[in-house]
Amino acid sequence: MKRPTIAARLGVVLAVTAATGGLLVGCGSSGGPAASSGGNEPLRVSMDEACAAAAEESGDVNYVASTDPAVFAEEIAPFTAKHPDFKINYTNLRSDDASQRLLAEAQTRHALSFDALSGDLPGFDPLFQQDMVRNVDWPALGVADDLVVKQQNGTAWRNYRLITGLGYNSALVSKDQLPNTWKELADPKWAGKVIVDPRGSYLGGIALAYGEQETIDWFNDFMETTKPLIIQGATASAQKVISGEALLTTSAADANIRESHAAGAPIDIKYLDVVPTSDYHTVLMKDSPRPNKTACFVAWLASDEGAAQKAKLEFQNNDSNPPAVPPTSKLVLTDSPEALKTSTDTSTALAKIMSN
Amino acid sequence: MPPTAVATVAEPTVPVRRRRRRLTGRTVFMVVTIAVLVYLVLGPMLVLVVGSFQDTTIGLIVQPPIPWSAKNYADVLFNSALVDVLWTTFLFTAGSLAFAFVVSFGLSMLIERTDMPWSNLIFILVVAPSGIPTVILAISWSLMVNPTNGVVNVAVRDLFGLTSSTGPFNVYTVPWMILIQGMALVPLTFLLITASLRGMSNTLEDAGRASGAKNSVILRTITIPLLKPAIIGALVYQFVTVVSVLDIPLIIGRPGGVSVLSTKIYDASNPVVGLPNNGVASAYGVLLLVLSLAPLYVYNRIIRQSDAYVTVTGKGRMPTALKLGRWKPVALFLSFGYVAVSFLLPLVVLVWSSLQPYLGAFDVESLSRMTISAYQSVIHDSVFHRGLWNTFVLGVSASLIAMVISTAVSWIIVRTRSRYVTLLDVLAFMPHAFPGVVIGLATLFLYLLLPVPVYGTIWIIVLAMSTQFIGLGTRLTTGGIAQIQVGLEEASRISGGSGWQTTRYVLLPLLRPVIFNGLLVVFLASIQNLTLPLMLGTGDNTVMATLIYGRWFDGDGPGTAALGVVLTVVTLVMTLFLRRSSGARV
Repeated sequence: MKRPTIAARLGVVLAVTAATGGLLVGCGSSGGPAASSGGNEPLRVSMDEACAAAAEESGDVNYVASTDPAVFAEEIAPFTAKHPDFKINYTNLRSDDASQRLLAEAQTRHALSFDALSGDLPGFDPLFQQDMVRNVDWPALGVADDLVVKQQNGTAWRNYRLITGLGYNSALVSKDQLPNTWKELADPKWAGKVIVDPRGSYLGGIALAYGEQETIDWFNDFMETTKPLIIQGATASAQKVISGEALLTTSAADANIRESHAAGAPIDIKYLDVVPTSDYHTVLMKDSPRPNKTACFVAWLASDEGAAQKAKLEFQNNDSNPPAVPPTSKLVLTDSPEALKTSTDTSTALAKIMSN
Repeated sequence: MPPTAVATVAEPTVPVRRRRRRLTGRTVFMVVTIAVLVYLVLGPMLVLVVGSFQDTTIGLIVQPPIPWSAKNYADVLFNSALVDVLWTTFLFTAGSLAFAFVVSFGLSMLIERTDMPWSNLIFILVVAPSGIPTVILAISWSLMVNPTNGVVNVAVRDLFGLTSSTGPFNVYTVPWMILIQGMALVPLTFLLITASLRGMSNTLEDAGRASGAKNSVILRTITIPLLKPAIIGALVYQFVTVVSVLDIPLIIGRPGGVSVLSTKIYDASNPVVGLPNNGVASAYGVLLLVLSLAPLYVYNRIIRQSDAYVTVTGKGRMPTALKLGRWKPVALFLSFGYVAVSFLLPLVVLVWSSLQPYLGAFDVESLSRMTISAYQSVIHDSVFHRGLWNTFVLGVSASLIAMVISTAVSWIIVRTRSRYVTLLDVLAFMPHAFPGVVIGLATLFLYLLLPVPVYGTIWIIVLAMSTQFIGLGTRLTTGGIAQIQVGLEEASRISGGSGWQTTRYVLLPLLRPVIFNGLLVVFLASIQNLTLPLMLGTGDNTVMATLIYGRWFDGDGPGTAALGVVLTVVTLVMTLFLRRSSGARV
């Protein structure tokens, strides 16, 4: 009889491991929807009550945001000084990466890695859809009503309002030379000297003032006239303006510009006729085993002291009507599903124009 | 003969005795190796296939109802924008591969086959750029050659009195993309070729020389043919690398409006808001895998004729250095010239950036702004020390695991004469074609399901990284083992040596250059990889790559550069250590 070949042996091994793989996929099939699907009674406690009840809860608070860990540690130092028994485990992740991780954990019935997350609301959308976000009575925790967003069964607190303007190299261009409106930016004198983000995300909000089609028409004109440099990300864009490679950037988030400006870099921001905004939120996970501890910590982040620390160290403010925006400019908000959809649809259309 | 004419002859009923096969160490070794490989690769493969056939806009779903969809394939295959960029992709891929292989082969020959002085130093400096974060490399090049105020352009305009305010060079074009990507490919390609060259006896080349053949003839008819397994292995690997690479196309190509296939796939799988659509990336991964099957098949046919590439026999094999004579200064000029452009220039920009309060213009005025505040900020960051240690653990562990598995798999591929071993090689190569997010997601799900306590620790990243780089390890070890005459192992066994003794005293010593180069390439690739630590990271298993990403994302350019300098130093130290350990001439 012939000896079984290596192929035969390989076949056996493959069959065994394929069965294991089937188990991997099948494991999930025993259990219904991904996240816990029970009711989502609101967590209604004050900050003091949450902090008092926190003593009964075990474990550390696991918190996600996209700030540098060293900056974050400095930022929450006043809180940890007041609550030396609290340990905050911080992870630097974008909201979509954190959501993906939590979705995987929920599907495999694993304890959630994070108790609270900060980031952009669309990145949390799958978590809201799977009913994984806790319904928190934020005003009870001291958060102003206008900072609270309700989505499906969960709620979120707005922790930062990013405002977009025109970033410029203040050593090479004076503020007076700059355009006053986005439409004036479509001028041949800026040809090759202006930066745009390939995702269109900084400019989509303009559609809330101009209308979607008019914004697309303006953008086509702007692309044709100025032949901009397409650079992804606020940091890379700011770097090119500071170095003088470009004079202007349309991907100018106020916090980044002010942080670089404070470091002495020749960069500043001018707000044009329309000022798009992007809101960033914090959510608590419904299945967190330490809701009070988490609420106590997040309530501190939302307090005046927490907000001041964030403004000081991350240059991120949360004013509903940012004082830096002049009265001649129109602040456009993406604080409703309809506004968010218009902004996103327009950004997608702008991204497509750049891609082609 | 018609069937009716067949005479039926009753066969004697001889009882068939099944021969009991003895479970040999060799069988156990092969089964265990294959099982480990399948275990590591099957999870990502399932996630790749399942992900490619589902709508992943709200994440990868493994519980019913699974949103099955063929849309991802439609998006990839019938996207007219993808077809538009095929020619640019071809130019970019072919150009950067040609550059990388010519430079790598030339430098390998000079360092390993000639008496060029300072060869060890040049070896280290050729490998060192892999320690510099790509984002910093790209910034360096744009600071030097951007059309507006790039240092080189300004100097050329001044020198020749050009009145134009832009140019004459523009880094945001295909030729510059080819050059920069080609240089980025050199360290790995160089290590893949060098390992084979160092392990190769020069007996045949000496014989050629003794018969009066010129060096060019020896190179063409002896050296290159003998290196065929290593060169083709490296080519297949780097082909997939270039087709899926994103850094240079996004940072250098995009500003100038140059798109390649990977840029388009990135756009298709990254909506303006919401989760990345990993389904599109998975469909692309499947297609990339299919594309690489043909070259892999050719590669395996070559490897199966391993006797033709044997140069390491029982006879003396100490390589003798070819005397360069009057060509020595030319060789040194070319080698150091390449090193200056590929490493020293970006390094100067990196160090300069780390000593600035912000990333500005690269000019004389910046000298007055120099500060060490970025280093102070980095060193006083408690996460930095943990990140540095985790990076070391990650690099060492992932490279050891990947190389142990790679050596075992390659031995089966080369020493087992079954035609089905091609399947094994495809299996080992697969992770390279998988998008990083697929391996990350698969590892995530696997260790959430299995009761193995690695989730949230550095070890889950080590396992994912080892899986990702088995394909890289086997490109080295398969070619290396093919060069060693099987008779040496047989002689050991006939002399009473056990399998382990043969491995320890015959195979591993002969493979030493290959293994040390492999450890180095996997170490460097692991500490640079960002996708897997981002997907599997927590506050406890932070590594340098995620710290660099965090600083950059947070707008801290000098901090990013300071961490880049640290990573470059780690790269230099490890390269030096492994170079010395591999028994190189010093």
